[in-house]
Amino acid sequence: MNKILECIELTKKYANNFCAINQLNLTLYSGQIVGLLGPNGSGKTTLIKMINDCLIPTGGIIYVNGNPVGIHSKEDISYLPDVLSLDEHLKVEELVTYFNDFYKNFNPVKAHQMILDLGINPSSRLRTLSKGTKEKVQLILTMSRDAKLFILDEPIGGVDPASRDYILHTILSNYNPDATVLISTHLIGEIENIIDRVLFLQNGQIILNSTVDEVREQHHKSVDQLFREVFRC
Amino acid sequence: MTWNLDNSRSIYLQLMEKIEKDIISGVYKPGDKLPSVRDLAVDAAVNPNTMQKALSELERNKLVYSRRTSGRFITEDETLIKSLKKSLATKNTQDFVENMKQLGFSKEEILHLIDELKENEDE
Amino acid sequence: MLGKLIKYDFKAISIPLLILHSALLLFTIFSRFFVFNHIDYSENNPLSLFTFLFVLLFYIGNIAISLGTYVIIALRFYKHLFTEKGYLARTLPVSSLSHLLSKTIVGIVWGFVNTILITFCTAFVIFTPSFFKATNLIGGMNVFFQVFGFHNSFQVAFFLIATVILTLLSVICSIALIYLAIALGSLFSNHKILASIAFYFVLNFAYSMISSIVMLPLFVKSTSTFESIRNLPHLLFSTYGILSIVIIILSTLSYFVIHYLMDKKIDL
Repeated sequence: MNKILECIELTKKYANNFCAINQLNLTLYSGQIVGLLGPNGSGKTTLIKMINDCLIPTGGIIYVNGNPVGIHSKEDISYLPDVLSLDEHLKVEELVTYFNDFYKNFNPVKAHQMILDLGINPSSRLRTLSKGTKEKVQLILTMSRDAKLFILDEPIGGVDPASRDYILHTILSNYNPDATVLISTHLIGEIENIIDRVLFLQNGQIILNSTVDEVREQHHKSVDQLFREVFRC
Repeated sequence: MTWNLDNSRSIYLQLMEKIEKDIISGVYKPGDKLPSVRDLAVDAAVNPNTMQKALSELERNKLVYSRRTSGRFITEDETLIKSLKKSLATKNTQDFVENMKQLGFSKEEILHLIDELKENEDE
Repeated sequence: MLGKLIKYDFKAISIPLLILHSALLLFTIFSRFFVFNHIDYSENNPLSLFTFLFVLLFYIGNIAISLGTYVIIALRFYKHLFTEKGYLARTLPVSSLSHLLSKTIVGIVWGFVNTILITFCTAFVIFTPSFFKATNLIGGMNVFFQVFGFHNSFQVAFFLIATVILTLLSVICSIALIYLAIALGSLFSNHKILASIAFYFVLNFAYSMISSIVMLPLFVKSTSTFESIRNLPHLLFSTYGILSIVIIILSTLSYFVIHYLMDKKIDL
């Protein structure tokens, strides 16, 4: 078990003095599927963007598999953002080639298989597909990498239940004891059984970091129920 | 296989219960080879680490044993399986009686109810 | 990795740009054979209204296509690195320097192609047989060069090559200007595009001012005597030289600032 992610005193403060992430400390080890949960505005996306070099921290440091944020960390991270980030003028098969061109640990065979499984036409241009299908393509490309850290920001949010099952199934069957999956989502009930560990984020701080079973044993309720209690409006 | 998992109880305990039930009811016969941890986890839609924990507990209870390269197998100890069956049956019955008592039934009324149901089935 | 970035950047903008430039080429050929060939330069007859309007249209068309070219290049830079598509770009295992180099190279290539094509098209419609006959252009050019001090065709060729190089340098500077405007505009959390456009005009003005201020003393000094005007090659080369240096310095500074902003300051 090695440290896949280490955040030390991580801070993100904006010009108007708003502190989105406040001296956050977090260590994630390999072989775990972790749920990052918190209400809107708690800092989930801010944290995720900082790990991915899409946002510059105002304090603290991040290590991914021992490397600070940079080219090496980007090779080890497979990131699925909550928006569509692919070039829409490219065909699906061209996007597979694109990923293969830039990522050494990309598996094009796996990607093509998943594309077929979901009935997507590889020669269609991305912009001609429906929103849900575009998101599926993005997910397929992300999950076809043999990365050390998968970061999925709302992977099942806008998707129909059958596709949700397929996505969760893909995450589970991709399971690799050397890798870690970090899932940020609102749909706690859907992912509760597949995550080992759960993180509650509130006001830029981690207020809970334990395994799902510990939560259920100590609080005698599901993580979903505990979440509703803790973050009651 | 349908794994009906209750969100307010430990997952690994429920996984153990389901597998124990399958052993007792004969879905898994003594000596049968279990699917891999990953396959079981995917089937149950749970985290592989949790499934691993459940299987390790079952190993500790000697219901399941593992051979290093071949995987996990159901025990061939029929006595053990029988005693598990008995203890589960006893627990279920105790729970049933307790529930009925809470509904206001006395012991005689419970036995009478069971006889009635048995007669209706025989007809 | 840089080669791959360049490949995809070309892929992203080449089709619309090829369409634009093919349209320009076709329009030019059409213009030449249906309008410009029929202009009679020999007499002093004024142009017909139709011809005049058409020439205007041709001129506007050229400007529009140039504008379109630079807008397409600018949009690619902005969209791919500073909007949602930036999530994918920023998480690729390449340095921001590679990204900048790739976008710059692709921008310069197409900017240069655009300039060359516009020049060619304008020449193509102007230099019709009638034009040559009426102005005795070729003969006139010989006299022109002699009067102004070009002693041999080698100097003329050198002058033409120098002009091409200067053009290339201006394209490099234009691209730098556009990219810098976009990078500066992205520092604002709202109205990024508006801010970028504002920065573009400000920077454009600033760069022009700087060039003029640097060039002015030189120009005044060089044209103070009749002798110096006659020595056109010398004048041109020193002007070109200084201008080139100014452009190179401005471009390099711009690219340094852009890279700094991309690396340290931009938040998606």
